[in-house]
Amino acid sequence: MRRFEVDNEQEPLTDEQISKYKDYGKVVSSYERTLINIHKKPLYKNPLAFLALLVFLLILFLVLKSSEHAENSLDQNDRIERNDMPEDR
Amino acid sequence: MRTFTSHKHNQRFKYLTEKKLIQAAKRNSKEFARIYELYHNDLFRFVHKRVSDVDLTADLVSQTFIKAMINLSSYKHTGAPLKSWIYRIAINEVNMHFRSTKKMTVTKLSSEMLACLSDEIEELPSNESKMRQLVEGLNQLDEASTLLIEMRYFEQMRHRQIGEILGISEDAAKMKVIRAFKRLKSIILRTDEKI
Repeated sequence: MRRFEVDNEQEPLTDEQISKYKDYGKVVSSYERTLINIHKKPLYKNPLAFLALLVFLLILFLVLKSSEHAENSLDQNDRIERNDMPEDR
Repeated sequence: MRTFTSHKHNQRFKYLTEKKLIQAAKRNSKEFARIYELYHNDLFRFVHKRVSDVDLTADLVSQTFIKAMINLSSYKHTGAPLKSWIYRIAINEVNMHFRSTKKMTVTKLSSEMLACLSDEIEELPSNESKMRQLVEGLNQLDEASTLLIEMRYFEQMRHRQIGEILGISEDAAKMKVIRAFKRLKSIILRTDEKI
């Protein structure tokens, strides 16, 4: 969004005024930071990191599956025990 | 004849040195400092004319040079000056700023700058109200046309230069400037009729 206005008091910028804002070091450091971000590979593009992530997820899946299985077998044993018990009259 | 030959020689020399400068900067990013040194002040003035704020100009100029450094490897020297390519990046940065900011950016124009434009519109009486109508017309004009008017009338750029910055031919740039001017003129005359 911009708007034009008439202003006759504005002086043209001098070289000295501009040179105050001249900072090549700042440009270079920003450039290097940007370059690092550009070249930083996302996790899924790095084969080692991707493999590690895959192994971790697999272990997590197996642990969850085995705990689920253990819970199920406990429930089943409970049910069998309850069925075997003589009814109180 | 001699002047023409020497002008041609100067152009060729400038082209060669610029080509060498670009090649050196492509090989070693430290060499980019020379490009920065060469174009910083002109670019600062170019951006400042659009945003009229020195701090914002400094940010946009830095951003422009960072983008130029990043994209220099893909730059192909076609004969057009490197300055035009850097100006094109600056224009994109400025336009991105205008689109992204919610705050109104004020571009300050002097009567001197407007005089070049007002001389071209003979239909309006030359007085104070003509300047106001011109500014009002510019505020209603689309972004692309405004840019062309700024480059041609406020910065006194040649059509060739405008073409180089926009990446189009000199004739195409001339046509675009004429169309932009006609658009501005019709807006101004329409508002003049209403008044």
